[in-house]
Amino acid sequence: MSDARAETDQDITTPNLFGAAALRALRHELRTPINHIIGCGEMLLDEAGDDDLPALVPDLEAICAAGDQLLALMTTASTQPTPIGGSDRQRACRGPSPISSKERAGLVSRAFTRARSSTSPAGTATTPARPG
Amino acid sequence: MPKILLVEDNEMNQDMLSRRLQRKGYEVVIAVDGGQGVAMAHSLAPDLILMDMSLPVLDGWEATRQLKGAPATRDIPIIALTAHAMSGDREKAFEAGCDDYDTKPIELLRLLEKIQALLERKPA
Repeated sequence: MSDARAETDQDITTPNLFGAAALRALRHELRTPINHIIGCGEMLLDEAGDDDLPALVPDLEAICAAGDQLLALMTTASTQPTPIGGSDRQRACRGPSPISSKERAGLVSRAFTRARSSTSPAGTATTPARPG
Repeated sequence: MPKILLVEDNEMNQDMLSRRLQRKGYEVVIAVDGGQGVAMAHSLAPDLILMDMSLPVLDGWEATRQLKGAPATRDIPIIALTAHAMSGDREKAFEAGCDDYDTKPIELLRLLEKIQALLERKPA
């Protein structure tokens, strides 16, 4: 997994229309929030394991997997040598994911639905907590 | 309990990493920029420093150079952390005096191995 997550020198030096500095900045801006998704997911996985909450583990694993896929997709998209559009964008969106985008969306949606239902009293609608 | 100084300006990264390290038995203190990191390294004498390299006030490379140039702090192991493996960043970190290097997103097991290896190597 570390190899999949790490950028390579080749990635960084790939010629593109934006220039190396702009591409670097773009990647940094995109990677930071994705890293947060992955990091928070893994932290909650640690805590679910330590606190003996196995019911949360599959959903948290799905969220972490989605974060990894998003990171790989971002890397793929930001190393395109030409502007991403039309069929290029469709190819990038397929990315390296072993599952379809519909399946991925379903996994994440079910994870949030379960998380909400497990933390709310029966019949009570809740709004997901937002980070401060 | 080994004391780790985490020098990191991003609040969410501070929270994530400090919580995870605390659960693994480390005491974690946080500095939010390079200048504060240098000051806290002198005043708290941590066992190890995790240094983000893109920092305000004083960046991680300069903070590392200052810490490695001072007799009181030169033996504290420093692990550089960056959000992306830019070409040359690794070499720059080692040239500044970092003892090891890792990239974000953090893989905790890999980082814990590096921390443990450096703590065991640290002179008494």
